[in-house]
Amino acid sequence: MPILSITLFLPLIGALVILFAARGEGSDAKAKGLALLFSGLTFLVSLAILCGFDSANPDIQMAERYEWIAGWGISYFLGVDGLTVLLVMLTTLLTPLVILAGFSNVEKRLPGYMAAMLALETGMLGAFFALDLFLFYVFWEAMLIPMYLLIGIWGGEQRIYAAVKFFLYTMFGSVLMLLSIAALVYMHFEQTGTVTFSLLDLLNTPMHYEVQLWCFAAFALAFAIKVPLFPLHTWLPDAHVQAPTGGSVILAGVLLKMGTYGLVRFAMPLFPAAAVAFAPWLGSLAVVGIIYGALVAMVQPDVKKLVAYSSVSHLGFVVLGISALTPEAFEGAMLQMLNHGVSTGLLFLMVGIIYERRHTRLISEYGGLARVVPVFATLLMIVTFSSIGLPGLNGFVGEFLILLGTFNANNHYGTFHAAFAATGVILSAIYMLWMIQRVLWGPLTNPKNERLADVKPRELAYLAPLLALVFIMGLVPGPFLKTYHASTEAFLGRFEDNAVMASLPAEDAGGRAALAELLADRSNDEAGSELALAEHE
Amino acid sequence: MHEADIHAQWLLLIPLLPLLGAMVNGALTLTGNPLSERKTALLGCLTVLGSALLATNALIIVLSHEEPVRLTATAWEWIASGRLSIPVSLVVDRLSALYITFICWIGLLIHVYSHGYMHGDRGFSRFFTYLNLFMFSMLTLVLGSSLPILFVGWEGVGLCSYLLIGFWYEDTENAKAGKKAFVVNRIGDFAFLLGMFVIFWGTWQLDHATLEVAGLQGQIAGLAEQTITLWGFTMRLPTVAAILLFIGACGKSAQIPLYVWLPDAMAGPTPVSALIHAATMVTAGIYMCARMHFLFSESPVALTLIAITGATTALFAASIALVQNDIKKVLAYSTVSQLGYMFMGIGAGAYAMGIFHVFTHAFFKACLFLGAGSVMHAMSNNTDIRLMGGLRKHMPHTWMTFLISTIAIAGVPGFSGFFSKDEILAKTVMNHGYFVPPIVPGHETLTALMPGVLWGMGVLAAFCTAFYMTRILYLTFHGEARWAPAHVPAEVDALEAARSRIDAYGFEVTPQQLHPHESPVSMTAVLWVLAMGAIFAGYVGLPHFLGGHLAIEGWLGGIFDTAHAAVAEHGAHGAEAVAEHGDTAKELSFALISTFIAFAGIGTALFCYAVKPGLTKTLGDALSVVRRVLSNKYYIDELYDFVFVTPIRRFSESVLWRVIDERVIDGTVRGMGTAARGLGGLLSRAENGIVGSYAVGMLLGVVFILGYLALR
Repeated sequence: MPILSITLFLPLIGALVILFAARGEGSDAKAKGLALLFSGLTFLVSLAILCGFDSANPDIQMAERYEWIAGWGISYFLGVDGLTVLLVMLTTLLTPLVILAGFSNVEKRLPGYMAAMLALETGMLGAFFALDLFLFYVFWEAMLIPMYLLIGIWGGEQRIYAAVKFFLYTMFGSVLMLLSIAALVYMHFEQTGTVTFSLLDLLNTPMHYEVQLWCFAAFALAFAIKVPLFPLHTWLPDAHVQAPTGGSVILAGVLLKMGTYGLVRFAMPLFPAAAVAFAPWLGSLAVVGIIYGALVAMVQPDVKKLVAYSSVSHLGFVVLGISALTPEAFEGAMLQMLNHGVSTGLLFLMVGIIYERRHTRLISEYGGLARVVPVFATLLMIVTFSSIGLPGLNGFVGEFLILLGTFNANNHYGTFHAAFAATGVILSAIYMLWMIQRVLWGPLTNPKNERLADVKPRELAYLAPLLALVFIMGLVPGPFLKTYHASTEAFLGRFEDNAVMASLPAEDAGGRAALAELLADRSNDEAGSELALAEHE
Repeated sequence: MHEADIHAQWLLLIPLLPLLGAMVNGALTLTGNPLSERKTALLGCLTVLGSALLATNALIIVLSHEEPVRLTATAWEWIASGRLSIPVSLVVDRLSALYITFICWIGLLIHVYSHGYMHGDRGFSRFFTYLNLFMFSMLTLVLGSSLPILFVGWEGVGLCSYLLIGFWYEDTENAKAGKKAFVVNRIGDFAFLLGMFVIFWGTWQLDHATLEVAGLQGQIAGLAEQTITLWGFTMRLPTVAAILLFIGACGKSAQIPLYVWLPDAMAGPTPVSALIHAATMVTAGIYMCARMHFLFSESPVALTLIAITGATTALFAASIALVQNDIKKVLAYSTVSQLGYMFMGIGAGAYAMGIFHVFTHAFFKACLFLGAGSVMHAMSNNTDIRLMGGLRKHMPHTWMTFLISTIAIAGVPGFSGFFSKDEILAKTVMNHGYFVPPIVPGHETLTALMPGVLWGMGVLAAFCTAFYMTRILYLTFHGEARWAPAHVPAEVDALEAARSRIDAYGFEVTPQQLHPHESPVSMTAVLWVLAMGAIFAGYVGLPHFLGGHLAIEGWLGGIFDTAHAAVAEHGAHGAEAVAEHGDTAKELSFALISTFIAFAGIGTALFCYAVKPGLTKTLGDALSVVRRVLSNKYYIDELYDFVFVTPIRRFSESVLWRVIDERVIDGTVRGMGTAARGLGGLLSRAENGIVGSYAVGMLLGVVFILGYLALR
């Protein structure tokens, strides 16, 4: 059974059904029911993917491949492996939750909102499943449209500005990526005589060092904008603040991961030599982002903006973990992608709950809420400490692995990166707890907050699954990490010295020399570490 | 696995029982139907009692073996990734057995006391939830067999501390104090994390139980020989790791420069101050250093740094305590100061003595805090000693137990505090393992002077301790009843503050309407138990000249032996590195000096406050600068604000956000947008669905480019 295709297109069918069926009298109720039905079904079907997934197998699984545009070697090629399967689950889990949240927080054109959300799900799933670069590109761009509409139609006062900024930023990167894809396909064609867009075929295309650097830069730029990596992050705060609650949750929860996912799925494996060369720079930018994002988050007067900048900081950890090229850091980064989806998704949902009641996101409008809404306060505290990375909750495991792995990376800069990045644990406590103090604690001074309603059962229903994950992933991260082991090994295998060297053609003497120097540099410390390992075994 | 390991899965219950209590009470509180006060407290107390009995059982098992043995329990694999494997596993050896036993029993006493103290508070069940959660975290911290599991407890107690300091959250000051505690602790945790990474880097191992065994068998040497080079400085790996871990300990155990959170932490309910901020949590740093003794002992430089920090903190905090007027603040600074002593013990390589002082201190300081709580109960939450006096007659039990504990902390022979503090001072002056690295100018002279200087600081701090404790004892319980209407002094500026606090807690009492009374039996009984501990806890470590054998040292020594050996090996002077056992004459002479100092402090205080009451005022006026500096705590909070907090906030706001983000980056983006004005104009009408056609156009463009490339 083409399980991936079913998962992929169920939401899109749902979107179409809503557009046609939910009209006239009672259209909102119909749209709600249908949206929940289809997104719920998608989640159930995706559970079959998880059950059928073999985590010991590093290869692509459940692959589906059909010729699409045969002349250009473009195929409809889907598959999952350890890097994608949990991201798929995150997507299919978050979508019904935001749809449930959307029952009350969408103020106009509800059927359209639900349809856009479902279409977005198909776009995201497609981008995760796609193993053909052309197909990936189609989904990557297709994703933009519903998101753009969500911000532009259901957003806040400055939604148009935010939507255009979001679109322009992302487009800018995409165009360069497209050119790079074209160049890659062309080079493969020159060497082998076949035109193909299949990732698996293109993976082992030897390329000159210089070419790799340029192609990688183009890919990395597109993905870095999406992450977003400092200094390409300024679209995010605007998009988050203007987006409706559901949009923010999906944006933070899944869309940002497209950037980091793209790095590990495409940019780095396709151009390994360039990835090794760029890794220190990516790591450095990530560290700057961690600190910068946290500092700017600290001084935000708007809760959503605060969370947005905290995402810049948290995603910095993910990029840092990826660029370290050690198993601990890499698996930590993979886990941190999920953690951030869960924690930040929860944060945005909770901000949405309070926004729905008070129609303001300004921290100064609140204060002393703990007395009026004790359940809300307790849940917000749990989410806050998850975001701060309290051990026992989900955030810690990823951060700890990333920092530990980066510190122990076989290079000169890893130690420094980890040391500076670790200041993030101080800064996150500062900005989150300061926000909490101003929102929950202190006397209740604003009379508008006196009659706030506490969390309702429906709200609890969409918070509960994520709250459960906060504890499960914090206490028993084993099954999650296990999913990554085989794929991590395969991924890192591409960046071992001889594998990297093999990605350069024999005739590229200059490139090989430059790369050899780079690799020698990195293995200097490795000798020391190997020695230590030998001594203690 | 160690050959003497005994598998004991029931150890898991020790932390889990209080967690269960916390979960039940917490869930019921959250759903809005908490149990009655009586049942809430019963649940809280019984779970801790269960842990206490199991902990005692563990202690008995460990005691019954001549040789050091360990009990272990493993639950599940927590984190496994790459070369890292961290099981959820607990281990009990002599050190942790002693620790969990006294934590559980003192914790139980404070749970019982809280039943009376928190009676009628709106957050009664929430309080017991947090208190039980704290017990869980603290026990995890002590029992964890690896640094990451220890860290789970370490951060967990930090969380509980945050929640309990800000327990009465409607007062913003309390909430701020809670946040400050967490953030300052996080600064320490930052270093702690890096310390873990360094250890992992050197050994591929984070399991301290395993590392300790390796250390015992001399296998840690591989670690000792490695070096790390940062900014051109080459340091031995154990030194780097030990200093980083110690910075973590400075946060948790309130040492310079990270002590600033503890005095503010007194905003929490008083049982919390007693349990968390005096008896247990704040000693976690000392525990961790003792736990990692095999690492610290590899680095004389780190030990010397610890000793200096400890001695400086002991003296510094004691000097602040001299002039504070808030009874809890005095006790808070006193705690900081006593923690300094414990670190002096660690720094001298006398881990057992550091732990001994943790043990005795837990009794008398918990008793003092709970006594202060009893006084606050009687005085409608007033904590200003200028508004007290003459309470002895009204609350005899509180007075008597406070007196006993004061004598104990002051260091009068025969009481517990004397034995432990005296041993630390003796070990300090007799330790020749201090080592100032050659990078410091005049390092040889400094190294030679170190024992004497540190001892002198410790003795001076002991004098201050005796003085300020006698001062608050006298001003609280003796003399005139200054709270009576006729006596409220006009110049007391704290009066208004006290009143507003009273109002904030919902009491409708002004100082004029006070009727001090003794606290209920559930509170005074606890005070008496602790007071007995304050007297007798010291007898597990009777010094040789009294015919004792420092039983605690010999017993704990079983695990710290390697430590001593290593200090000897690496010490600057090699020979005679550790205080020799049974050096009776020296021991006796230092004990005499300690005794003299204790009585001198007490006598001076009595002279100043009982015999010549005007003296301190005259003296204070004459030395007004000193008084101002001391009462403002050396302006350290202001300094930190000025140097760190304000600049960072301003910089983030005015430079990073307003300039870099909004002008530089966004400005560039907007500039590019303007350049592509045609596109922008098109997009600004996007809501009309044009973006859809744009996207289609884009896809067509893609196809066009690809087609061109493919067919070229």
